Parts: sequence; structure tokens; C-alpha cells
Amino acid sequence: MSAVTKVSRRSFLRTTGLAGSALVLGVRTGWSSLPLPGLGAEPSGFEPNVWVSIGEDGIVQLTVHRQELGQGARTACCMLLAEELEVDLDDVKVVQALGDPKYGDQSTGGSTTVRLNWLPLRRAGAAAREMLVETAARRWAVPTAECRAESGAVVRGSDRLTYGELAAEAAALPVPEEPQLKDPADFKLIGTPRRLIDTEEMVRGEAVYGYDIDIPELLIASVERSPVAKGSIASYDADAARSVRDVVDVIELEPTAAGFTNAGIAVLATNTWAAMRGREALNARWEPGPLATETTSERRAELEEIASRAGTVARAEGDYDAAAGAADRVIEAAYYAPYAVHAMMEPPTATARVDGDRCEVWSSTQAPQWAAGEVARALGIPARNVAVHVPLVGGAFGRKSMPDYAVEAALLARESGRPVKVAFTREDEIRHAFYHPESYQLLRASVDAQGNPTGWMHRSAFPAIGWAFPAGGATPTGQERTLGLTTMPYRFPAVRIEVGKVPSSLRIGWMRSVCNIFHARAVQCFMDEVAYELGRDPVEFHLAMLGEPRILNLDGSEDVTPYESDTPDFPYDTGRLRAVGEAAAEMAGWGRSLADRHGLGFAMHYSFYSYVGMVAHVSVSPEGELTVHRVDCALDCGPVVNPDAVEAQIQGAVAMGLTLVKYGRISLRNGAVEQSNFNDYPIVRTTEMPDVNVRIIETGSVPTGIGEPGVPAFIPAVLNAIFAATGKRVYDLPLEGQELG
Amino acid sequence: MITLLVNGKRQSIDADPSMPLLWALRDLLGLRGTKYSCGIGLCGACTVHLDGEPVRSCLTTVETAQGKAVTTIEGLADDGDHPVQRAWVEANAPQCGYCQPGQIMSAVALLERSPNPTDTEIDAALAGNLCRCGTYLRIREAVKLAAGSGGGGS
Repeated sequence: MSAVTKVSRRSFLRTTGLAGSALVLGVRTGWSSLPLPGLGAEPSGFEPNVWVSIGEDGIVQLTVHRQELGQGARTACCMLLAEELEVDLDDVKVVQALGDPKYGDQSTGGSTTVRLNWLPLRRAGAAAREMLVETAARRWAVPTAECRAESGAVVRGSDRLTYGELAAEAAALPVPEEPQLKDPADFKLIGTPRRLIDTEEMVRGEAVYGYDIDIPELLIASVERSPVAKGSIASYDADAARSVRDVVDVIELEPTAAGFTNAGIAVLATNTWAAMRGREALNARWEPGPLATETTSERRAELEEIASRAGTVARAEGDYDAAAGAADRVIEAAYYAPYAVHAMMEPPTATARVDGDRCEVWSSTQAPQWAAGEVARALGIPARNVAVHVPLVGGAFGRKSMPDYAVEAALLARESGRPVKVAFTREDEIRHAFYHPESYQLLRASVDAQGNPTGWMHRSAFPAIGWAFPAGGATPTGQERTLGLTTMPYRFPAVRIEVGKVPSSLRIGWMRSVCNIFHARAVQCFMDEVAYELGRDPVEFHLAMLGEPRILNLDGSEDVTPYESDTPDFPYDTGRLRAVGEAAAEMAGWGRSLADRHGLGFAMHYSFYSYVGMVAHVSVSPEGELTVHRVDCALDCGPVVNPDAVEAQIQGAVAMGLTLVKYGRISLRNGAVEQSNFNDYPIVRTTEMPDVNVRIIETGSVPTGIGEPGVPAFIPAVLNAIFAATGKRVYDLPLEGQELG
Repeated sequence: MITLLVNGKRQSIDADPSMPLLWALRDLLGLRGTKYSCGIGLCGACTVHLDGEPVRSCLTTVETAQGKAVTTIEGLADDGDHPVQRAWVEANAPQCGYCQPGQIMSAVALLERSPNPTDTEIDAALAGNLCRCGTYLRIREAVKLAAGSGGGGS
């Protein structure tokens, strides 16, 4: 710590209770880090908060506390800081934060980075700017109003003082508690398209990902894990593994008490190839344990059976049973999808170094604080003794929130006495994931003799995220229900929404937009089907059922809206949903005539407080081959920080959604995952990618998320388009293996 | 000892002859721009050039690579100024970036043999390079930018 920095360790400790607020005074943890490029450099000089520091050498350093997964988080965080600090993005040094509570929540998931940091990071930049302006004004003995900040300096007429020249003196000033934020009309950076700050390193092959970490004495571990969760080791040949050239050690891993890891046998070697070959030589045999019973073909029937019975009521308005009893007709459909997996390009990986009661970790993780906590628990050391660095993350999509591989690396590093990198193979990634759950959705709509819809019934059956955790929870939680299920926005006089309790032998996790994937598909495909059955145009029917714009008030629901804690700032405004729906239809030329076997499909969905409308244009060849030609997307995620990244996220959502439609299937045989690599878990190729047109509608003053919300609307838009093209409804996913011709 | 010619430099490694070039580059020579993703030649993340031809380094043993010129993303140009790399920046192609070195190596090889490729040629050259982030549209744009700027003529 530099002498000119005004905060002391004691003051930091005194203020840690405020972690998460914008202006916590902080110092670095003091835990030494290895000098890896771009990781954990120590700042010095003016450090008014944990995000901004300016050295007397004039170097402006911004610390990013969210993880870069490809979604542009690092760039967006820097834009928020730099906008208010008045520095040019090309002139700053960017440092990736260690996992540390002083930054507040660092978990990069739930499309939260911009939403939750919009004000804190701007305030952090503005506070620093005000202190620098104040310092310059004092130096010149003029009112601050006569000075302004621009491009890393304070200027007044022809006078100019750089931030570097002001840093030491500025550090002596009190940090303003209520800094004045810029008027959005004066934004220079926010709202302009920016390339990701890591682009240059990425195209040179110089970007450092978790898989690229290399430190002295490092051993690479390839871990053979029980193919069935909770299985145990029966036998293996350690000598055969050790006889492989460059293999150093073979170590057994017990399942940890926290439940994130299963039994494994790690082969440690001085290079990755040797570790993999040593692992093959183990010839490991497993006791499959109590969960080795599940086979996918039986599972679909089980889910259907669960959905045939009344579940736990998640939302009820009016009397659905009475509405159905009095109905002229009841339309029914059910939608099934199997488990799916993330298949990010960089498989999970973490490196750990243990030194006595301290541990340093480099993890390809979305959640460094959680990783630190679980590593500490597994090693039996205090969490403050664990430093988690986060290199660039080569894709994550929710899988890399989980701490399992960091825990494995830490345990192996302690046991072997050397730093260890746990390197998942592709097969490990596919077979030892935390899976997107399989799901079965039963929907009914009651209609009176005049063709007016009178009731809506939706029963959702899927294994809950609770299965990932040792405490176990079979019934979907409040948050899982709000992900597209209880947030159904259409005005049916009677509504009954239920969830079923579904056991699973797989660990369930988060995958990009989570339960919104199957809930949006069911609701949006069913609305399309009901519209058709009633002889109405789908877009007209959606908008008519949405009714006049309103703030969705889910009377009778135990869940109000997602993420209850900050609901007042983010009401669900059905007028914004209508606007994106109308815009998407207009962009696509909804209603235009198309060639034979071509069709347009419409869907819209609210998730993560953002609104997305989509129209897909598809064709299906006589042989049954699906081509998605074009996707028109209108979205509203409030004020946009980086429109280029928003467009990229929609392109990405389309690619991921199309994989789920065409190929996404994880199946089980006797409790073990059958798929292993891109041969049996394909992902879409460039030849399958449609054109994607994005229109951004910016409503209000509060930004929401966009990393996830593109996925849910895409899937039903495509499925509805398939119906328009062929007259065939798709009820089961994926398409692979089905006849569309 | 096995001798490799990597990015114009002769390098000796002490490795099993069956070791894939991918792991020799990454773990023995410290050239980590070449990425592992599937290990069985299905994703293209590990693409390098062997005597100018794109190959999957996860399926190419060091024994096979002996006596041939290996080019990796690091050796494409000084200071990352290959026209294809510049086009990639111009098009803002990367998201997570992990697959991009392999994509770029495939694109460079395409443009060297076909400086103004048709859409069909681009499809054929890049269909084996997977990207889970969905950067395909921008990659296509980058390839066309590079073709227009003489990326194939270098």
C-alpha cells in the first residue's frame, strides 16, 4: 500500500460491513499474488474506492469485479467507471479483481452486471472525478464550477492538470458521499458501440484463460470421476497410471461434505497429455451406488405421470376448475425437453497452490467469492486465506458458477504438495455437469361458446435446482417459478399455475436463462396453438390477451416478481412487452406471404426484467430439414451501455437456442450420462446460423440484463414458425430424430 | 528428442512421439494461443498450420509434425497485424474469444488459397470451427473484410 493512499487496513476492516455499497474504502487484501499478466497487480496512489486508483505516474487503473465470460462484462464495467471519471477507455489499465467481499456481489450470473452496477460504478467514478476537480480548483484558487474534467485531466481555460499530477493531493480529501452523476445527455461512452477491451489479446492468441494458467512446479490433473453421482470407487490400477511417462502421482478424491464433488481418481502429470493417458491406464471400476437406476426413456413417462396429478399451486386467480367445467372446449398441449448441458468452448478448469493455511486459486469461474468459500471449507481454513484470481473465462453459461473444480484443485494441491491444475476434458464437461433440467409442461385453456378464452392452466414439472445442493430440494423454489411460469402476462379470467415435485439423479444447475427456457417455450407455443384453434392471427391474439398496458400484479401468487428484493425498481410493465412484440412483428413484415414450406413464428418473453420480442423465418424442406433464415428481434433492457455487446448477446442467444431446438439432449442409461463430446452433443455450426436483426428500444432510466433474455423467446418463435411452414406442432425437443417432412 | 519448426524457430522437445502437437505447443513450448476444447478433431479450436495447411493439432502427433513448418496464432504476424487479425478486430468478432485463434487460423488458410472466397467456400472452410457464443455472423463479416483488404494476398 502506498503512503498517499488514505485508507488503512484498520479502516478497511471497520468498513467491511458496508461491502456492496458504492464507496466502501478499501485496500488490497495484502495476499501476495504471482506476477501473471493482467492478474492481481497492486495499485498505488489515489484510491478513493475499490474500483479506481490513479498513480502519481498518471496511470489510471480501473478494477473490474465481474467476470468476463464473453458477454462484455469487463468492458461494460469499465465504460461505467470511465464515463463518470472522464477518462478515455484506451488510456486506462484494467485489473481483474480477486474474489473479495469488499466489491459486493461478484457472482456473474442472472444478467445482473449492468443492472446492479449501473449506479455503484458510476458513483465510484464520479466520486473520484469530484475529488480531482476539487484538488485542481484549490490549486488554482478558483471555484470548482470553473473547472471541468475531460480525458484524464482537469481543465480551466488553457490551464490543465492531469489526474496524475493531482492524485497525491486528491487522496487527502474526504470521499464525497453523494457525488453528482452526469446527465445522460452528456454521456460520451455509455450508449456507444465499443469493442470488448480484450479483443486485441484474443485475436493475437495472447489472452489468458483459466486453461492457460502456468505457474512454477505445476502439475496437471486429469480426474476420472464416478459416472453416476454418489458412486464410489471399486478398483483401479494406480501402477499402470504411474508407469505412463511424465505421470507423477495418483490421488483419490473423496466426495466433499459440501456435496459439489463426487468420488474421483486424479492422475497428476507434468503435462496434460500424460495426465490424460495415465487416467486411461487406470482402468477404473465403480460401484454405481443408489442413483444408478435412471434411464431417459423411462423418465419422460415419469414426468408425464407427475404432471397428470395436481401439483403445488404457484399462482391462482379466479376458479380454473369452474371455468373448465363450464367451457365449450378445453385446448390441451404438453411440451417435453430432455436435460441439456452448457458445452462452453473452454471446459471447466482451476489451478490451486496451497501454502500452509493459505491457498491461491486461478479459476475459470463466474463466482470467485463462492469458490473461495468452498475451497476454504474443503481445506478447513478461513475464507480470507483463500485468494481467487479470475483469468478470462472461455464461455460459462451458468456451469462455471459452481465451485467443484476449484475445490478439487485445492484438495489435490494440498495432497500433492505442488500447485495443481484440474483440467476437465470435453467428456468431463458433458458428463460431470450441473445440468439444465429436463421438463414436462402441461397446459390447458378453456374457451366459451363464443370463442373467448376463460381459463389458463399450466402445470410445470422439472427437477429443481435444489438437487445440486446437499440440503436437496425437490420442489421448485419461488425464484424458479417466477422464471417464466408465474409471470405469464395474459389476461385469462381464471388462472391456475402449479409445479410438480420431480426427483433426479443428476445434479441440476443454471444454464443461460434457466427455467425461462422451457416455461417461455410452453407458454408461447401454447398461445400460438390456442390462437390457431380459435382461428385468430397469433400476433393479434397475443396482443389482445395482453390487454391494455399494466404493471403485472400477480394476485394470489406467493411469488410477486423475480428477485423480490429489488422489485420496486423493476416493475413488470406489460406495455413494454407489447412494444417489443409489435416491433418484432413489424420488422419481420408479419403477415406477408411466403414461399411454400416457409413460415414466420412469433414469440415474446419477459425475463431478467428485460423484454424481448422475436419473429423467426424458417423453411422446412420436403425431406424435413429445418433452415432458420432470419430472426427479427426487438428488445427493451432499459438504457443500453454497449449496444454492440447487446447485439452480440442476441446473436449468441439465437445460436444457443437453435442448438437446444435441433440437438440439445442429455440422456441417461442406468444413471450415467450417455453423451460425451461434440459427436453426440452437437452444437450449431456457422452453416446453420440465421441472419439476426436487432432493434433496441430504450425505455426508462434503469438498465436491466441482456446476457440471458434472448434465449427464451427464440425457441418458441422457431417452433411456431415450423408450424406455420408445415402444419406440424413440435411437442418434444430436440428435433434431431424426429420427422418434419 | 523431437525437433519441431514452430513459427520459424527450431525447437527441441523431450516428448513421447505420440503426444499431440496441441499439448507440445501448450505445455512444453508455452504457446497457449492454440486451444483445447474437444480433443478429437471436432471443434477446430486447436487449428494450426502444417506447411501452410490447416490441421487439428489435437490429432496431429509431434512425430507427424517433425520436419514440417508449424504456424500457430502467435506466429501469424508480428504484433498481431495480419490482415485477418485486423479484420477480426474491425468486425468485433470475439465474445469469450476462446475459439477465435482456431477460427482465425482456418480463415487465414482459406484466404491464402482463395483470396476472394464465395459464401460456399467460407462455409466449407469454417464449418468445422465451432463457437458456442454464436459469433458466426461476425466471423463471416470479418472474413469478407479481410478478403477485401487483401487478407488473402499475404
